[in-house]
Amino acid sequence: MIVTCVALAVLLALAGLVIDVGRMYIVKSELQAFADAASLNAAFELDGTKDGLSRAREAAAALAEGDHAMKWDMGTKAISSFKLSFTAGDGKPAPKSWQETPDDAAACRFVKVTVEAAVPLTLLRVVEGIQQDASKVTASGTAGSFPGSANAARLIE
Amino acid sequence: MNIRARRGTALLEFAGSLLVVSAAFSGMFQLGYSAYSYNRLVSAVRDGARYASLQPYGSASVDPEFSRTVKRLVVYSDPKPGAAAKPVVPGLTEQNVELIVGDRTMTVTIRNFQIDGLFSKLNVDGRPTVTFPCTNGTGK
Repeated sequence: MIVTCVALAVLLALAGLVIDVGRMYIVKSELQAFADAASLNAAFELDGTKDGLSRAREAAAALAEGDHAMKWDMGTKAISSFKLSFTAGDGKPAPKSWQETPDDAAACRFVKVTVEAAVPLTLLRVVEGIQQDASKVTASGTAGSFPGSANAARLIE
Repeated sequence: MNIRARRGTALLEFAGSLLVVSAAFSGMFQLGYSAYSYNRLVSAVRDGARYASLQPYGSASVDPEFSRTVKRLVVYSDPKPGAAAKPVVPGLTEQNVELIVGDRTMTVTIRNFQIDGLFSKLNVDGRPTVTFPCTNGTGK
């Protein structure tokens, strides 16, 4: 009886790993694809003006809307929780200077899209030490604007 | 209880637990394999869309050969696969990959595909979908 109880507990934990962690991996991949594409789409709009920043936000949001919207949770849920931050830099983004609403739009050449989703947990929520209804998964993508070069915008990381 | 009766009880318990455990493991395999396959599809579609986005801005249509190359990349992770190349997910063919050409975007999605999880099948149609802006050219 004791052996059965221990074995069932281990089995439940393994099932939790398979179901919940597997789901989180899928969501991470989906969010990463969105972050990369959205940052690239936004980087094209950076032209050193405040309007450019607004258009960058709209360009990123456009990929989560419409008939061909990118989604998460095995392509079933709309991506809604993401933010854009901007920074200046020469060839690469200046470290630790990301701002969501930068004062100096003229200097902004790089955009970072950070997207997150709360993945519902099914079995891991009962595991001692976790006991959460959902686990937050985040992904981020960075792209830069390089006007005048062959590729006007490029993914950085 | 004598030894023979105890053996009989143990056998019955084993048979009963075997059913439960085998069902549990089958379910775990099913879910795990489906998740693994879908994750591979997401990566393949992402790579295909990124590759397709190398087309210049404003491409109202793309060269059929380029379109085929993109589909091969999604299916085989290789734009020029060899004769022995295997699809990233068993059963995936070029007919299951759709390339949608936008004004300045390339969208790749999977159509009418089933992930065969041995015990049941997961229908995949219109997902995963990945859109990338065309990056080759100076449209702006």
